[in-house]
Amino acid sequence: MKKVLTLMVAVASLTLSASSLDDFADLNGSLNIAGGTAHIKCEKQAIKNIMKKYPNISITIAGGGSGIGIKQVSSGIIDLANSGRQPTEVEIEKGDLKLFRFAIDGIGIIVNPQNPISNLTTQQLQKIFSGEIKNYKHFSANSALINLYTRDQSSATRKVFWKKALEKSDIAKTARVVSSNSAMKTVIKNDRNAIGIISLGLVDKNVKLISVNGVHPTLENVKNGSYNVSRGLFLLSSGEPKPLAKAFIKYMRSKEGSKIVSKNGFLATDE
Amino acid sequence: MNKLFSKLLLFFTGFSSSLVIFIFLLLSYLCIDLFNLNDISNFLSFDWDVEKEKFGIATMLFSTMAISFNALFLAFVFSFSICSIIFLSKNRYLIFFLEKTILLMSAIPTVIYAFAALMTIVPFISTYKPSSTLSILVASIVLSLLLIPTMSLIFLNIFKTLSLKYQSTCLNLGLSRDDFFFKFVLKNSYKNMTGGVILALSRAIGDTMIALMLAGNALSFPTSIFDSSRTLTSHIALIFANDFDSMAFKAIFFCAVLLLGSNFILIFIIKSIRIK
Repeated sequence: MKKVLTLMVAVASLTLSASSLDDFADLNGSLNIAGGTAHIKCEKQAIKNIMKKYPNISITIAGGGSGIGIKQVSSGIIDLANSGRQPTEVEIEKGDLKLFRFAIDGIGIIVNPQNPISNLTTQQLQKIFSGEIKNYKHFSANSALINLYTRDQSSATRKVFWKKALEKSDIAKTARVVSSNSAMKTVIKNDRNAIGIISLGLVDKNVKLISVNGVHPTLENVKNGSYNVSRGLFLLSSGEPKPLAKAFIKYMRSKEGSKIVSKNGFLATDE
Repeated sequence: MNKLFSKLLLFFTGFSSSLVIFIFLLLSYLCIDLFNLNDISNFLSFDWDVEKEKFGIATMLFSTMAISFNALFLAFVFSFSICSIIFLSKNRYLIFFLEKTILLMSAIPTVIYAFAALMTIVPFISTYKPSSTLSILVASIVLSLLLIPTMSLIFLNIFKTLSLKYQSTCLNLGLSRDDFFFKFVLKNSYKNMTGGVILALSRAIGDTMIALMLAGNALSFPTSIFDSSRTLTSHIALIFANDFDSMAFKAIFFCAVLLLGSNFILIFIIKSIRIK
């Protein structure tokens, strides 16, 4: 009985896998994707699955940032762009961009695991990030200067954080700027007085997430709307996507794609 | 055959030089939109704030110079010491070790230096001075490691050339090896050494990865070596990664013109020193 059940599960998963990847059956050639870095983690897994089953298909993926992705897809250099923000109306019009959201990502505030702070209010966040509060002693923690880390002014992660968590209050110019989510994780891990922002999909035990107004930044809270510092992860094409790009978008939004997205710490969506 | 080879070399040199000049002209053309009086004063201010449409790059220019000169100073002290030891020491193993270390250092990519520093120097400094992690100091120390092989190899080359030509004569005249080094070699090599120092400076100004990963990239004007700061190259990398078709994006072409321009000036200085 046990063997029959195992066989049934195996056959079912094979069927499911086959159906998710079926769209690639008659396709070949290459697909080039570039842009935002938050997407890469789950897209890598998807690409691995596709190329394993269809070795005649070649899919490349590169970072560079959302802006670069949008620029490159608009100029026809790449087939699909990864973007962590919704393109502006000018960008959409200029590049004839079509948007396909496949995941929702939260932006979390992180500190070093040794930092005792676990919750901050919006007002406290505004004061910390504007440079008004410079020491942790204001939060009944030990006296230590706050080392502020952020992303560059045009980063999608920073834009969403600034708009939704800081409610558009200033970010101090003394804040150190790092170039990617992974770099943020590395510096926070190595600096016990650090505070910074990161995509929830990249959080692990090396950094500590902080609750905002008593709400912990979990996927459940992003889903039920109680934690609103979130954004969509988009795939963009210039005009209608080519067959291979179309199949990739469909796969990322399929059941199997959703599993990959969820496994990597994002919320799957096909809206 | 030799003539043909020389002509070929001349052709390729001319082609490369024209390419560099073409790049310089192209960059100048791409930032030509910015060249009205208001924008120039905006550019030369210390305030960069995209949301308030302020695109001053003077802070980045200052930080570039601060990090480069600090690194240059450290690298010069170490390079000169290492080369002096290699020249004066009689211990063959020590000489072999130092020479091979310099060669090895010249082969290490900058990202490896930066990553290693992020894992070692940054937590170390964070322990003793918690407010200073990614800073001018850290970037300068690591950048100096990049400059040491550049400078050392040039210094060693000069010392060895002079030594080959004049050592036996000088020693026969009664000079000791130390006297030969301090009174003859150093006196006759300072012009070429200056060339090496300037070459290292141009490398320091042009480096991106170390400054981007270790200087902290803050937009505020630094007041001490423990402050975080942003160089021109990091600024270009950060803006280019996220933005395009905006005033900020055009402004980075001006940064590129400044960088390339400063390299031209440094090369010109090296050439004029060598001609003299």
